[in-house]
Amino acid sequence: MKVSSAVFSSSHNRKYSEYNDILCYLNELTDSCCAISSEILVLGSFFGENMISAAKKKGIIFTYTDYISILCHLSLKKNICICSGGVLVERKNEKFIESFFICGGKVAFSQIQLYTSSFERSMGVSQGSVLEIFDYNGIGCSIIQSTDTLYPNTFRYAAMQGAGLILCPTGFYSSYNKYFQFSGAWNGCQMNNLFCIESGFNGILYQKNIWGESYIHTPLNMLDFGRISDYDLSQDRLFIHADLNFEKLFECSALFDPLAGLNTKLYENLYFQGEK
Amino acid sequence: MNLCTFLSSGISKKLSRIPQTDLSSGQFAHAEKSDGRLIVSAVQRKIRLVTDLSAYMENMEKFVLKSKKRNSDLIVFPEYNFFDIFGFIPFIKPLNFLLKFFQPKNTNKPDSADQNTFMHDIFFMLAQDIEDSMKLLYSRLARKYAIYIYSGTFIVKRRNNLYNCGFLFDRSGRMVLEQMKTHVTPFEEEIGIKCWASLETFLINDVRFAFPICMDASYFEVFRILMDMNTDVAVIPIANNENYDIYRAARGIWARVQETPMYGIKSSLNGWFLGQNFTGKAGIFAPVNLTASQTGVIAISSDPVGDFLVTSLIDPSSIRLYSKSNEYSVQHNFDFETQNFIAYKKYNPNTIKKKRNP
Repeated sequence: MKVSSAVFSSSHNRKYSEYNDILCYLNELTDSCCAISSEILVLGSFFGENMISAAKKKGIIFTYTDYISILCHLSLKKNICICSGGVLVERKNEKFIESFFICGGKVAFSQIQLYTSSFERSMGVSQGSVLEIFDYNGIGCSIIQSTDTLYPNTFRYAAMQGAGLILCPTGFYSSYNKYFQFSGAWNGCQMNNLFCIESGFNGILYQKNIWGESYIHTPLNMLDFGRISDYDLSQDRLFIHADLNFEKLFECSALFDPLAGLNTKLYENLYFQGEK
Repeated sequence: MNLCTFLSSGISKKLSRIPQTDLSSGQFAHAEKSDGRLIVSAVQRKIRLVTDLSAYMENMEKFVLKSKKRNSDLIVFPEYNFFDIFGFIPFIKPLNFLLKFFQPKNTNKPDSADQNTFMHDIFFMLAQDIEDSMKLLYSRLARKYAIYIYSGTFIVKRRNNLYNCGFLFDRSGRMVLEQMKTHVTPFEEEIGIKCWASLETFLINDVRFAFPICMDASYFEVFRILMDMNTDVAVIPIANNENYDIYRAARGIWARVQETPMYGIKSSLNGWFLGQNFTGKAGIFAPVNLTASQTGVIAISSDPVGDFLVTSLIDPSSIRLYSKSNEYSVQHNFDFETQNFIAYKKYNPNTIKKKRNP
């Protein structure tokens, strides 16, 4: 399965700063992904928020639903599934960060971020409560976004429910540190034998510097370094891509499979220590 | 008398000859630090087959003395910190040397059932003697040097089951904690070593230590439980029988202390033992933002093979502050975590395999 992860670096952010430029970026990006027959494209977290903010500056009324509509249109026209990355969504007086998986021009699935950072809590963002697994061509998929990538239980839970592919739109508020980002999705992918498409957003939003790099992760037993493809600062590329072999993924579980050795008796007090 | 009984009785005899230690020396006095900071040392050492316990003790004492000279409060020895005593077996040294060149092509292939039964029986017969002699030996070293010693791990027998277990001795030589491994490797499982199902912690100068073992560091669950027990420092003794690779190493304690902020102290055993090549770097780790290099590594040995003593000052108050005040401080999500809990309750590794590989 060919998959792509969008690269939206600080230099892209400068180059595509206006609303119309961002539309052009999305067009160029999806065209390029189509050219290599990519089936799935993951956008960075807050990419949509960045577009909403650019539209606002131009005086254009543009909400997250408009952003999703654009992605639906691109998905249908270019025959590609798109993960939107997190956008701020308000429902019943509650704010959430939600990512949408768009397939054949329609929203096929959405996932609310489960954990919040201190800045997100200060903005009034609430936690989601469920991590769903959805089926894409017989492969269990899940969206684990941004802050959730720093919680290893999200990857564990997804793997235990049968996921083999994780879509990770990211964007962090802390100061830039690639090792910090590695402790999230790369680590989750290693400990659960998963493929992971991580797409980082870089830019300034809510007066905060947001950063994230783009990678496609694989378990170490499949490839040295555990990365099939990563973001290269020296190139001004729009995306990175990889061809994922799920048969090999399941084979490599035979070499190192933490899921086979869980000690559930020990975990009886996990999360609920002292609550009994 | 079969081979197993013959070998174990020979080793047992030698284990009973505990070397005498001069405990009268008062030169190794200590003063507790009042600021809650501690100096810790992690041992990385090569397996050296010895022909008697005195030689083993001498080798270990060198590390203790060196750490004491660095004012360490605690020294940590590695997993399987007793392979050296298999040198008691006649002709094992040349056999060990020859086995370097006759390794199985596929090291991941399980050994035969016969081999596993033999290993199990040897450990089963020797476990009590190894435990008794090692406890005595490390207790004496702790007392002599007035230092906390984590002995590294040995195979122990409890209620007719084998476990991989480490011991902590206080400055007076008293054994104050024993912790068994909670996640065993497939090889350990094959030779009949069981998983333990609880975690203990111990306070040294108001700093809370925990002592999970090797494979336990591949499980975030262990560290999440330890974090909820207010653990400041996790000690991880390892003995990895594979070639060193920085990325493989990063899946262990380094990753765990990023997810659940605490210090991580890794001790490591290396060298060839019965056709297996053990490698690994001793190191001291913390969340990336608390390390000068911003890599999550405070100190690490320069080579995955050989003898090293890695020492560093640790300041748990900085971890406690960081845990509470960083942008991504660990939070609870009770709804989602309840689902996690249910998933563990329903856990069946075969069902997961089927789900993932339809």
